[in-house]
Amino acid sequence: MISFKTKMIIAYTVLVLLTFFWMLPFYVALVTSLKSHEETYTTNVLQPPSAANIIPWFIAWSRVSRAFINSILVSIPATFLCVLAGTLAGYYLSRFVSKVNRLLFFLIAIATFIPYQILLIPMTMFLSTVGIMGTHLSFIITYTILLSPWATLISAAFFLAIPKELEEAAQIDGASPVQSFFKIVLPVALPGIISTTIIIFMSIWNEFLFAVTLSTSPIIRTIQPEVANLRGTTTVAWNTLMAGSLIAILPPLVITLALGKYFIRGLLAGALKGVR
Amino acid sequence: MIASSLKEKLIFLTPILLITVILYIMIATSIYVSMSDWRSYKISLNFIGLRNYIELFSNPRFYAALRNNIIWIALFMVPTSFLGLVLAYIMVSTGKELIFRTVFLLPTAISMTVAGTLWVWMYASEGAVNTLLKAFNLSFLTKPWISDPSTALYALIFVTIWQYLGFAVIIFEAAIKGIDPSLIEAAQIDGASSLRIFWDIVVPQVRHGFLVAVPLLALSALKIFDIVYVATRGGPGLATDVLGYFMWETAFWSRFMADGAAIATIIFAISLGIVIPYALIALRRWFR
Repeated sequence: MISFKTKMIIAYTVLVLLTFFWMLPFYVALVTSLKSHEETYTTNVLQPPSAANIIPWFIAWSRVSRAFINSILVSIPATFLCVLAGTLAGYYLSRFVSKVNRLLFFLIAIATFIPYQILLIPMTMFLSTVGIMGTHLSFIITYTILLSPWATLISAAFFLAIPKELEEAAQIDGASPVQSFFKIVLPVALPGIISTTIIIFMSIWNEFLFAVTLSTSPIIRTIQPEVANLRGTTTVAWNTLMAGSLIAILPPLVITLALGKYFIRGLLAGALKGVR
Repeated sequence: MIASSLKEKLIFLTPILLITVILYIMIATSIYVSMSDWRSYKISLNFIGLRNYIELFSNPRFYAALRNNIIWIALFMVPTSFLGLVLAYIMVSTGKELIFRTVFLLPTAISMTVAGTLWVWMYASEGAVNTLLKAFNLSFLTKPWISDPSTALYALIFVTIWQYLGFAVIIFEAAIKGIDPSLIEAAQIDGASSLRIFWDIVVPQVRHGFLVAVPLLALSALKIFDIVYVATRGGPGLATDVLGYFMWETAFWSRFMADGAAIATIIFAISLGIVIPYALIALRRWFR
């Protein structure tokens, strides 16, 4: 039998090797983004730059800044609306178990997990009929419709973990369900709501199928299609493309590093695994 | 029991009911469009029955894309879930989960568009993958990974494994932590090896982890689009063409809306085979 120590050595070796390989694309992107155009061709890709050159970051920012701001203008209101609709419905579904609610849960779960392709054409039909194609509003409406069901399921998972006795006590004191929801439940559910918000915000920020379809002009383009556009443009050098890519993933990376615990709990709840 | 009047029900449920109804109307609309003659910028919704499907089923590109999706699902789902379980097990046994978990989660957190872009550079002929191979004296293995039709699909599938491993690790880590520790202790006292404990206790005990991870991973591979768009546009040839990309190109590049809707409907139909059982299992877990 292998000793405990040997086992730990094997475990750490596997983990450390995989860590290096898993972080390699980020490292290579960072190193490349700090090289001059010439250096990206003359030096080994793994080698750090002779001197940090931040010009690619300025070029990249000038190319993607508008899209970055568009993404912020779209993601924040849409996330807010999803979380609002989602926490209201999620609370209700977690508290009132009936046949109708089970059916509703089932229909919402289906709507959450179906591939977006089936919704793409009707959504564009709707947006052009209303005449808002090519506006921020079109993205906000789209993402609110797409992601409210998921926000409902995630927040319902968190509400289920909060004991009902809390509100029952409040109602004996004469509070209505709506009052007890806002005054008693929401403060206790805050960590769950943070998780829901993070998952929904990151999903919207990272979404591509609708983003590329709704980005009908460069003015309205959001960040992910902008990166795809940079990548498709032969005039853009690798150092700029890598800097642009890193700018595009900055918000999710910062959130994961700063609020990883909430992100993980959100992922688990979002997979309908439950949070207990 | 908490009282709930009709007025209160409406406050809680109106937004989501409205959205759910819109979503189902949209699904129905897509299915209808797939049976229409809409093939230009101008909307045209004359009913033509299943003709678009018949044409689709006689198009070799459809089978190429479907085949790639099937390969993608198999070669993505199995290694990601299994590797996720093994890694979660190793991580939990070292007790240093926090740092390693973060490492595997970073690719999960970023967009697939950027993941694809980073890996296009990794796979370039002078990119990191070939540079590493040369450094280990494996020059004969170097190749232009995503412009070679024989490796392009597998190169992209690997990127999706890179991205989703963190997700699988999280699911299995939670599942492993739910195992009653006395089960493992008892086996250790009986002198079972770590490998035996893994196979005979951990794997069966985390089966609900598989029930969560496997369907969601399969769905991700079924609807795959972003990385194909950004890395290869389905090429070289049709080597990396998938239904999601075929659908988008048909509807929004060629403007054959009805044909695009037919492909979307097929993706949807396949997805229901995964989503319905998944939702039913979740429902049972939810309201037990």
